[in-house]
Amino acid sequence: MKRLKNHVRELREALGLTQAELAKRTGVSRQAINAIETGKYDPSIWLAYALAKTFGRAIEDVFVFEEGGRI
Amino acid sequence: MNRPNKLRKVYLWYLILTGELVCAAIIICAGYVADPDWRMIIRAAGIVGAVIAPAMIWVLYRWVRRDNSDTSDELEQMVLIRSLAVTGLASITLIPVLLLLAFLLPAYAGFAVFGFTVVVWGTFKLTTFILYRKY
Repeated sequence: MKRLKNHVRELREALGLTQAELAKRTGVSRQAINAIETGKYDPSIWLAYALAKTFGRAIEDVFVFEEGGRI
Repeated sequence: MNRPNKLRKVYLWYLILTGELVCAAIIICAGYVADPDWRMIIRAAGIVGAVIAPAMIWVLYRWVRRDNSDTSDELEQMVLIRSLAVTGLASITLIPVLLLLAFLLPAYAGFAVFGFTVVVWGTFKLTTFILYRKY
């Protein structure tokens, strides 16, 4: 099964933020940010929105849904 | 995302209340111990436990929650939900074993219940630990 891919790490590093700083801005733990970046955890739509808003991007710029992905 | 919740605090009070219940059960059951010395020792242990358990649980809670937050985020909630699911499966699976042991060996029913509790709680704590490590 293909995964939901994301550009959280690249966008975070482009802003010069640490995982802890991004976690603080989005209201989650650093572990949650790490789990999202490593693809171990797919965030809720609420968190996806908070992340996209923090990066100043649309959700689909941050998260990439692949064709034939989740069943 | 941190949607408003106080799940950690709810869990803290749940642990304190169950701890007090266990201590109350120890104090009550101590009255049935035949040996007077052991009766006194077990009753004293129950009373001491009832007094210090809330403080110990509170200190542990604040120590584990280094961020000092009462709110859990969605990853932590997912971990707890999965742990509870595994625990529920384990307890449902083991209930027939518990009933069989309790009916076939009534003299050891107390031990069977104790073992069941240890296995179920152990499953929950172990699953939580493994999932926290995973993420």
